[in-house]
Amino acid sequence: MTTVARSSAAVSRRVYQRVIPTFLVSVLSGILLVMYFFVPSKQDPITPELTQWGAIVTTVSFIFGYLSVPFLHLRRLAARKVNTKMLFGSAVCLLSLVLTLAIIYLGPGGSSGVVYSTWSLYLIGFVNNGMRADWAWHPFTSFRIMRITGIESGLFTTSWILAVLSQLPMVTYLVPVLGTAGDWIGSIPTTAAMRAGLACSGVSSIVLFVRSMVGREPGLIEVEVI
Amino acid sequence: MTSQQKAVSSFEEKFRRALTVQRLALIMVAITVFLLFRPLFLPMRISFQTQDFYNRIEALQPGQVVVYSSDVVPGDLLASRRDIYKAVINHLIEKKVKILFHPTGAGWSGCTETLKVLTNLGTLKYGTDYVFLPYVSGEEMAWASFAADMKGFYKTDFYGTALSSLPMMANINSMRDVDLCVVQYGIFTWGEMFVRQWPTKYGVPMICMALFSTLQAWYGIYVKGNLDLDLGFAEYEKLRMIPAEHILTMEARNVVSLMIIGLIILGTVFYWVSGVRREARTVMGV
Repeated sequence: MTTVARSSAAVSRRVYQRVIPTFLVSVLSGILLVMYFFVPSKQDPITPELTQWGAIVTTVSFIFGYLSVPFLHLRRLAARKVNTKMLFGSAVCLLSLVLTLAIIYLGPGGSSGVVYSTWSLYLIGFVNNGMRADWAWHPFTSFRIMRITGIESGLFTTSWILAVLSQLPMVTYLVPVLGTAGDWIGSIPTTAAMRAGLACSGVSSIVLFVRSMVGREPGLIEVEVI
Repeated sequence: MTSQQKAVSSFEEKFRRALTVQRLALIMVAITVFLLFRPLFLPMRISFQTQDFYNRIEALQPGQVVVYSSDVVPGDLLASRRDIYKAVINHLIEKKVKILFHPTGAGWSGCTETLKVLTNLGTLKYGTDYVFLPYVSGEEMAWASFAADMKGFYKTDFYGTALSSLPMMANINSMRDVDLCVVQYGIFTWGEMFVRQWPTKYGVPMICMALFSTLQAWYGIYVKGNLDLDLGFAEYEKLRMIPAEHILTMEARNVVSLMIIGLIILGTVFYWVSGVRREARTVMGV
């Protein structure tokens, strides 16, 4: 095992990106787990407080995300280091953003007005639906990739076809058993797998909490290039 | 390789080159346009999810409280969601329940007046029969806070009136006072968030308008009915005997999906008959 000397910046990043968040999450999840079993919900003073803080953190992360996207496109347009197609995409994105904001803040009725409703109808309703013409990729790629070449792909493709057939009114009307078969695939085995995954995730969370509390959880940050 | 295998392989190569995305898109558009003008009105079975959804609303008693949660934006409301919103909300209105609209999408402010025009909400009295809440960000945490203390979380309704001054809200304080949640969402991770915060904590039954695979793990326990997007919408519209767009959408789906399945079977036949073990290639035009 080799020892890697880390710079002070890397150590600092390690502290605020890994140690502090892991500690906070572990402590909070531990408190909630204990309270779930031992404190009646009506006497629980911590959950409402944590929930409100959760709402604040989520909102801040949303704002960060909302701001990041236009800034990304602004930087791309300013740098002009990408091809024309990407520049065009960024320009259209920013223009749409500016137009939408202008309609909301300057248009009659604001975000409740008829201009905004119409703009939204065409942008989100019609243009978005038109973009779904990329559905043509489904038959295109299905023909090239989804081939039954063995037991595994056979099981997968057969299950998929049965599930799709159950979604086709014409088929399920003519052959009702195909609808029942699709329902069974979509309900029983899939639900069983999902519940198993949920149980696994729950147990893993407890293990992660305990390991974090005793300082044995390195976290994913270790795989990053420092 | 036999001569027969060579012939099949050669044919497959020609077919593969002919089957471009552009041509497939044209075929799909042609089918859709044809069905729009000449609908076939094919028969349709009603799935268990849709029947459950319908039955839950049918079982409501006058005066009961329903939370209608939705991430709809004006574009969706006027286009792909128009007919189903109209059908479901009018069904609730027929049952004479109190409807508390809980928006989860930032475009909600453009939807309230449209909803009044699209549905029969205009025949009801605002504040007594239904209430519009304003949009608040925060997702799961916000929904949890709302469920715990509605008037504490939302001080006012959509129009800025104090919630406590609205007659309908007199006895509605938390999710414990709600009889049914109708939840529509488009983001796949939201299903489990709602399940965690509403039915699991308060025992309130929840019916959804969402992709079944995003909620099937809780179906029957916490989720008591579902409209599985376009298919579910079409089935529900048929149950309600309302001629609506989703029924036409299903006709197009019949044809296009069968085309995909046909191509998969054809590709498999080529694979085994030609004896050529091609690598999966998906580059445009190949």
